[in-house]
Amino acid sequence: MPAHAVISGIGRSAWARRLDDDAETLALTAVRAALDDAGLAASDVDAIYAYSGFEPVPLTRLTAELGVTRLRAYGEFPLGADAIPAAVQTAAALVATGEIRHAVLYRSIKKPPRPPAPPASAGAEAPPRPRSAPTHAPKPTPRPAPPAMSFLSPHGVVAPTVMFGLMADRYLTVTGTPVARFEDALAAIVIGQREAAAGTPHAILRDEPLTRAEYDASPLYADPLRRADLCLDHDGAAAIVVSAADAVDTRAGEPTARVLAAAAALRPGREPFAIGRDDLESLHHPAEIDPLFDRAGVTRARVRVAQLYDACSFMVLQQLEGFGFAPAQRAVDLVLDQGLGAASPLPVNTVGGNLAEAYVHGLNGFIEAVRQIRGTSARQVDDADVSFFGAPTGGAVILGR
Amino acid sequence: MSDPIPPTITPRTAPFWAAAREGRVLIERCRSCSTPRLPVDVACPRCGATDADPVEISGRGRVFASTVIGYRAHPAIADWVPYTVALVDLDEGPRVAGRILDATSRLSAGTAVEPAFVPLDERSAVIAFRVAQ
Repeated sequence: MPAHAVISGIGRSAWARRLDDDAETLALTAVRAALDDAGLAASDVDAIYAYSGFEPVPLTRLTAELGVTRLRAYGEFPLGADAIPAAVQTAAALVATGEIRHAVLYRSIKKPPRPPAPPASAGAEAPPRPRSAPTHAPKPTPRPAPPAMSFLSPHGVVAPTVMFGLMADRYLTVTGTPVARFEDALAAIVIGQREAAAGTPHAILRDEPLTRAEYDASPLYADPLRRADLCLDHDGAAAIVVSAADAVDTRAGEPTARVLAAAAALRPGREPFAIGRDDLESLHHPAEIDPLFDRAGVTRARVRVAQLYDACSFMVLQQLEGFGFAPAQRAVDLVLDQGLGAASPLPVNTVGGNLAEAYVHGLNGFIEAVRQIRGTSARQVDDADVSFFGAPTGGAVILGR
Repeated sequence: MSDPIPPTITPRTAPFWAAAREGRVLIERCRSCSTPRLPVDVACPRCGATDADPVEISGRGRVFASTVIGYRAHPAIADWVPYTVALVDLDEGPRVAGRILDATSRLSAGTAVEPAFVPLDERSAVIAFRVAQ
């Protein structure tokens, strides 16, 4: 019988708006914490996976720093948080064939250092500026957009947030949802996730509750989305270890998170900044995830708790519909009628998600999915024996006990 | 107001940008299935064929989606804020992104727009839009 995969370790560095440590230190700290959690040493690691296109610490560099003896598999996965299901899927398959026993996935985020502060006063050394000189130097020409963005950046489509605004506008058009009701749902998500963070000691926004009035006063960043609808942006790292179930010790007093099923997903036209698809209001559709539930041997109704990738609050609506937890075009109703909190039928983003807990590109959410299985969350859901993690392009992992 | 962020101009895309500098909208049409596309796509998004012919179109179209950006999304265009950007289904072409120069709020899907050319340098201009009169 093929070996079954478990999530044997979860770990993180400090998470804060600014940290002095460099990315490499953060990554190493998180990976070592995850290995400690799994009861493993660096020499046990057979495989390392990273986020392609985002990760500042090269996989080869981390491998050298960690003190791995020999890698039997490695890889980098695109599409941001979809790297998580892709890496877990790959690791689980290699675990099943016996090629590897322990695989690490890591992600570190480190903002560039602040530019040096300008001198408080010009001082004696500063030469006097000639009266005829312009007050401001001519603005340097910005670097050209990369080829793939050359039909987007010149128009001001320069950040994922711009795409979120376009998708949200399209959602309003397609669903006919009144703006006021849409805002009620987004406010409920944002305020609810802030409340969840308030009960979570490690959450970045644990001490920053949000009132509805404050939500309404938050500036429109990408109409109809407000600043408060967007995820956190801070320094920190996180890591997980995927292992063969028979290669790790049973956890003392708590269940081990078993990988019931994991799958990457990418359909043409779904990549970030793709504008051509007619269902731009959606990220993905329930039928596409049905095979994953079949493989996991559970139905959606058996899912006790879900972590849905939330680069913005609107994405929670898209994910609820896309994974089939809400009927198509009815996520607003679900949020307003049932809520997503601890007492709701399906608690979502239980310790605040990317909006209020942390933003480690989905790994923070995946780690919470594991905690729920173990029964160690700061906001533990009762009998959380099936725990779902969903990524934006449609990749997902279903964990069980 | 700052110039748009310039594109990377490749031999393949140079005719598009040069035509825009002359106030023309030049796209490609798949030689196999006639699907129009921007030169950003090497292969036809519908049939996968790589051969295409240049074709000049009016550049008029209708809004598919729009948003108003109210924060400094990129330092090079900080003085644009707030600006309206839309996805426009060209009447005779593909869906494209474009700034709507005369809009201060989101536009209803289906709003008719016409091209407005914002010169960048001697060899290129960015195709933006105005609400059609």
